[in-house]
Amino acid sequence: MDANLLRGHLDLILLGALGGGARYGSQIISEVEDQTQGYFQFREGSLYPALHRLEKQGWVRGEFQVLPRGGSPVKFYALTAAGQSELRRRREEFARFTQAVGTVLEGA
Amino acid sequence: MNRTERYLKRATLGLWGRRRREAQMELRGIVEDKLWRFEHLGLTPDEAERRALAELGPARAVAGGLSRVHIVPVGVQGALLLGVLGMLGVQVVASAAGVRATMQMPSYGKCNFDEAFVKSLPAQEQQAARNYLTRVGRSSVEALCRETAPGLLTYLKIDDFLGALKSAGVSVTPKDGSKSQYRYLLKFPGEVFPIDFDFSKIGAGIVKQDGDYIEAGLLISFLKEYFSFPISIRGVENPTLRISDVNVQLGTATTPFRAANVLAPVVTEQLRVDQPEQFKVLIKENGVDTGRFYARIGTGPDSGAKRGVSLTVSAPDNTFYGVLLSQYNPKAPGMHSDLYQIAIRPAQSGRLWLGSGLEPTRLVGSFADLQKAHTGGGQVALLLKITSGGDLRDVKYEIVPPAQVQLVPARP
Repeated sequence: MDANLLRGHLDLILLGALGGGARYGSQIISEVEDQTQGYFQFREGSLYPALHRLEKQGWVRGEFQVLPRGGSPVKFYALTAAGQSELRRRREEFARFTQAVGTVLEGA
Repeated sequence: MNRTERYLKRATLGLWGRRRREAQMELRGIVEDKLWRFEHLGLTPDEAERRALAELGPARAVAGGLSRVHIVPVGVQGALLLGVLGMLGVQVVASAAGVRATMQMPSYGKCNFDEAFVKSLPAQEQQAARNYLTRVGRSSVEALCRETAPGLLTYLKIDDFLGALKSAGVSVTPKDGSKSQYRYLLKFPGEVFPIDFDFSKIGAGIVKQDGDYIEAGLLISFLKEYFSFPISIRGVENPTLRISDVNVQLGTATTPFRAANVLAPVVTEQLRVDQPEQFKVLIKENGVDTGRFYARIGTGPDSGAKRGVSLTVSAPDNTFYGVLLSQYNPKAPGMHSDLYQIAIRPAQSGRLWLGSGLEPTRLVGSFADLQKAHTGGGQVALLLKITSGGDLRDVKYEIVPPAQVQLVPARP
């Protein structure tokens, strides 16, 4: 996979991954990898800054929670109302984009 | 320092204060999660740790990514410098008239859990609150609340606060088309972009008197979250709140404000970050463990009166201390054995006056001892000297050994 493709759509992928409910970092990574059968593979070093950026933009909210196994808390991220609208907006934009690219390629 | 701690330190280089501690806490949770997984796969603890850190990637890369998100903009670096000048006594922007203050019982402290109260809660909590009131019975919940209701909280008049910001050079513009009457665009001197600030997001923190008032502790918490500027507070009575290079005097001669009452929530937040293990209490909903933890820490307001139990300390006047008390309620031991109280007090002629209702019988010298004494019942206290107030996001404190303090009972 071209790393630029992941970079260019990272926000949409993260917002989409959180569309199903609150997740913490490792859950997001494994879910995205599972769902895309390994097509998207995150480097964790880039995941957490990206989540912090989304949090700063007000699209996700983080909350520390202790897992049933105990130990240090992990930070769960959930979409805010603004994040849900942003996800809708980006989904529509992405659909329009792929449709447009598809049209061009069909004519090629 | 072990391998993980060294990694966490390197991975958060460039961040400071609360952001750094929280980023470290988040990464520590991730590392532990991986350790747990790898050890269950049969790796030795050492192998598991190496692999966990390797999966996270080079610490420098993580640090670079986090710094890019959280790094202070150039405009604010100037403000930081001005903040230092301010500490040296250079007044950069003249402060405006004081912000009127009032002390009131918060709506939840009035212990009147009618439908209007339920509707004042965030939408997602309303049904859970109704279920709880039905299950336990409104009168029982109200009686229980009255046993442990917080004291008076300090509120600040919103119009005065905005007026003081304007006088100090901040552009204050109501947000066009907003459904909230409390939403403003605040543009600080020297900044390019305004900050979209909505007082109504401060939840149940607004009360009406001769205008709208906002709970001061919640206001400061929100300022810390919304703004990247340094925020500090100086003085004891009618102190100066400094945001970037803008000064706002809190309180007036006729409606005084005491800094201790706004420092209490700040210190509480810091304690929760620094001592997560000490303030964990499993929350149950309808008798079922939720997996979420939160120990209640009430606030003992500072009235400035020299009465009640006092502690002798050796410090100049107006040095701030935090008295963290276990709050054991003998009338409802099962319900309230995990409640703490914090009282911030300035030293006055070598004394810290706790006021009514705060009556520790002895002092302990560590958080662990406080927790132990706490579960055993009785009211004991841990004394913390607030050592730094340079930025309210980075409050520091040190434990005062009990041997250095004398507990003086209240005069009959």
